[in-house]
Amino acid sequence: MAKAADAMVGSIVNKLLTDRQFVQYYRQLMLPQVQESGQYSLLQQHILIIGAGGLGTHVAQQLAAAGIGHIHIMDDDKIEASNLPRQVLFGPSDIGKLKVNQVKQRLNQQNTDINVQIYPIKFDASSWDILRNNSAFDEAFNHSQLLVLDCSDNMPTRQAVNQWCVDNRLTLVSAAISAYTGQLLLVDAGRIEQIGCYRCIFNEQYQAQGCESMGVLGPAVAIMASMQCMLALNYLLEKPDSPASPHLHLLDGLDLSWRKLIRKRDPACPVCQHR
Amino acid sequence: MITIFINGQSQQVADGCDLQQALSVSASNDQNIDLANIAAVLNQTIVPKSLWEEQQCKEGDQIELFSAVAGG
Repeated sequence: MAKAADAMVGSIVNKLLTDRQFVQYYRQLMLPQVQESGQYSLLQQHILIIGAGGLGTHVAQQLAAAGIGHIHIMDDDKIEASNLPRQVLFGPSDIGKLKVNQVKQRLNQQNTDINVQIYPIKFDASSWDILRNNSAFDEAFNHSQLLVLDCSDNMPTRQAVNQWCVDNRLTLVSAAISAYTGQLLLVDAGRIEQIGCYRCIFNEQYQAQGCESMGVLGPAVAIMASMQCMLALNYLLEKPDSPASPHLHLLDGLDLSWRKLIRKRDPACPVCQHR
Repeated sequence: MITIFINGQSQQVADGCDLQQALSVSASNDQNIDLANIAAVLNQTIVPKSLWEEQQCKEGDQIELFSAVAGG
């Protein structure tokens, strides 16, 4: 395989990647959906991860490895012993430290191609100003190079993230897990008129189950995080007609099965009805 | 009367019954169904809550109910 990679390196005249990058990402860019141009675009891409818990740490690790060039991650939590079974980026010596600091340290060790920006704050209405004060984030927003991944752990934050993404025309990949049930969807900023948003399915009055009350197994979190990454990468690499985008994906971790439900816009949705 | 299926259980409802009415009947028979906390799926398509009263049920409809999860 290394010889094949060397041969391909030599055959490309106008290279977008360095030789080292070409070899590093070779198994990805050999996919027809990726190629060198796709990998290059991933290296230019900004992703905002909201929440550095079970989903957020797995997602950050996988997207960093895949070569997403700019990772912004937001969380104000500190690492606790009860996090360790599913937040495998952390170890016992990290207990008591800010999650985002440890995430940045680990991702920087993992891939030198990427830039990690951290925000040790809780997501709320003031987050926007803080994010826009970061010049890299602001530039990505202005150039529509920003994708948001909701990895938070409660319904009020999920509703706020959805509202914020719809208001700012940002595409959102939302994943959630509790016990053996996982839910995943893409809120495509370019298709809200057809498919709707997160609030079209779950309104803010839902008493949603979380891991604190229902429990969860680490592999179930990792599965959901991997699917969230797949959906994000598929969207970034096949923007116009990502086949997964009109669905809500449901994981049944006990049955080891997935279901796809068709989403429909709620014409009375207060978040997206005027889009 | 027509027969519909809610989470796999058959249920007799009046011909012309809408989804809201069908789910209300189901909730009155099953304390585990809390209409404020469920999303409804009709034949693989999620029906937003604001459309439950407009959605007429037909013979053989498969309705599934599920709850939101929010953990991360």
